[in-house]
Amino acid sequence: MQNKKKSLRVGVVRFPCSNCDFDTLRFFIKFGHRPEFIWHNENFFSSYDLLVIPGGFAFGDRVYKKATGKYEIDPGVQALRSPIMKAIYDFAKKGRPILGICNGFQILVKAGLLPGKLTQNNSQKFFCDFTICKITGDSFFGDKKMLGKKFKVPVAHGYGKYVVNDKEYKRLQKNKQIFLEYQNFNPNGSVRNVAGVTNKEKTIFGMMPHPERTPDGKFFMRAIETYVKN
Amino acid sequence: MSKTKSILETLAEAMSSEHTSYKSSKQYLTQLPTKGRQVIQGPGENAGIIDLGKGWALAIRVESHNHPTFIKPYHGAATGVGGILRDIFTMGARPIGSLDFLRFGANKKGKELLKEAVHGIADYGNCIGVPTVGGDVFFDKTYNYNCLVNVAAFGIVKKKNIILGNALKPGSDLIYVGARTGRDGIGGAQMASETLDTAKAETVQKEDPFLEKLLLEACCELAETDWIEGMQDMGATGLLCSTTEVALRGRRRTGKNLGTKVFLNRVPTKASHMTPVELLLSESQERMLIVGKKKFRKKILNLFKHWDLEASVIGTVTNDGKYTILYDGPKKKNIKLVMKFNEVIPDISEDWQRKKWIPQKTPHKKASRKEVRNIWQQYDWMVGTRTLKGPNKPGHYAVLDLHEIGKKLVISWSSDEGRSDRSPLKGIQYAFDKCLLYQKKLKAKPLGITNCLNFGHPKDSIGAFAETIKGLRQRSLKHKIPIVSGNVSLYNAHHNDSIKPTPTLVMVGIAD
Repeated sequence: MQNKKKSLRVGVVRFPCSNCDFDTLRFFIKFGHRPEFIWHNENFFSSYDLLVIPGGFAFGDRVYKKATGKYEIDPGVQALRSPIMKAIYDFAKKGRPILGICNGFQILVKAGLLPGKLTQNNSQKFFCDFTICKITGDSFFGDKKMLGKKFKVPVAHGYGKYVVNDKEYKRLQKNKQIFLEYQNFNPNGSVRNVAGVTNKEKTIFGMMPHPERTPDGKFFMRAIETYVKN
Repeated sequence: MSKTKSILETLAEAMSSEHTSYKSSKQYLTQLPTKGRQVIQGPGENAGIIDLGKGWALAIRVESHNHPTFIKPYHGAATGVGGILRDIFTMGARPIGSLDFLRFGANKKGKELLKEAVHGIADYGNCIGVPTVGGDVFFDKTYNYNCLVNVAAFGIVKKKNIILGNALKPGSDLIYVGARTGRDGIGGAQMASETLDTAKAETVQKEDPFLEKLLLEACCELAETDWIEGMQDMGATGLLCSTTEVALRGRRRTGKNLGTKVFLNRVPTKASHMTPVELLLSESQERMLIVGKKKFRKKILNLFKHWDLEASVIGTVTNDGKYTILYDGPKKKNIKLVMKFNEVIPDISEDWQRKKWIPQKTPHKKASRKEVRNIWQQYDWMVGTRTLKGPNKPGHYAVLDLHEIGKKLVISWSSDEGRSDRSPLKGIQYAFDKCLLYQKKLKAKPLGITNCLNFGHPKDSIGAFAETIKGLRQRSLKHKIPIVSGNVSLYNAHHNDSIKPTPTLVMVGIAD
């Protein structure tokens, strides 16, 4: 069955301390695709069908104040200094698809490629468990079959509270950029249960829940495959 | 002359601490059955290694970090996780899961310490990407002044990639990699060997999970090559212990008259004016010692550079059978000190009178479901996507997917649930039976055990310790399940009050 599909060339961007890198790789291998790692200080990559920035703690999240040993937690910000960012911006500019999961989402937001902000969970604690997520807006990778459906997708983060002001929220809503919402239970205090957003052009997708960990992974994969094919 | 003499004395004293020498416990530990067809490596290395079949093996170990956690709960618990994970990837194995066993006081302070400790474990484990797949929590007055934090870790490695902590040939490089050496944690091993009354906050190390993650990836990559002879993490008594240990293991394994020569001025430091003794005894975290084949020096250093790790060749393996330290800083007078291994590491044992344990009979309370959920939700228990049964479902067992061999790893654990207080013998047997029950229920074939034996001051607890070993030995022999690694933590006491005997057991098995 899988042979009929065109297998995708997927670039999985690996930062120091990415830790869902192998999970993401295996997720794509499982569905017969050809993922490969791209190290953060490479600045060139060839014709990938899709770029994925996996979860983790790029550069450890701790931003040390010089010489004092004190630090602030600011997920994603240190990744911006990596040479790979230039290539990511180029890829984005060409309208090629990018998926950011968890820390990948945080990085894309910090890079200004996705709207809004991600801040510390209301509980001020890391939270890991299954959540129920509903596909909304223009759907995950525009897959109309997924729209309105609910999936059991795990989250694992300490800084996943999505924040935008009212005006911006309305604009995102109007443009159908919010493609994922928590149902029943909001694990982090995100504005209006937002779990995933896309850019205006619907080419860049960022989400806190982990599609590579869900038993419903095939639905997410099918959406990606269909998107790339078209 | 008097100066060099005092260096040797200080080093020998550090190596004589209970934590490093097991002087009170080793006569009992040697009674434990440790062999089996599936055992690739028993006690004596950084972790035990069990054959899983199809070319793969499992590294397992438990470590305690009790005293540091009581003094600085966040850092103490976090560095505890760091230490045990290093024990696993030092063997070339990639950690795939951990458990934590928490015992805290029945008072307000107990709850506060627990909160901080969990925070520390979560921050460290989550960052590195090793899932915490289980554990348990108990409260008891006996831990009011001495909490317990035991962390177990599991890693998988291709059999051909297993790395041991030894040097094999004269002329090989001793390569230092990871964090710079500071004054943190000097005296940590001694602290673990004294009661908490005298312990100081400065002896607790600081942690950097990011560095550990880089080390992990670099070491796992290194395990795939044939560039190195051995690897040893710098834990208790840091550089001293690691540089002597690789030589001693090498001597035993090869029969060669190996020695090591260490240039202390080449050790990267983060504090200024560190003395040779400080450099040797510092317990700064996230450091490793690599025994590299000389012809691959460049390749090894390049691999570390790729991972943004600072590495330097600080010494060499010799054939003179001696432990030599050199220090020739620009301003300092040169120091060259040639020592015999048995001078630095005296073979000592300490005999305590075996008194019968007097039960404390305080309530041993299990944490509520809600308290426990609040803890495991702070741990990333799914990263690695192997967790088939995690802490979200009840039962003291976890099931991890071993897709490499198409099987499942069944981990079961149990404490004595307070029973050892009344009868140390029955307590450990209860724990064993419970572990085995889960293995049987899941139709798994039990392969090995690792344990952490937490006891009070040997003067009143060594009798209970001996009973525990006796009970464990009986069960292990009966069911033919060997003990492949473990940890002993003595001196868990406050003034004259020892904690209850608190053994934790972890059993691993394989199911289809």
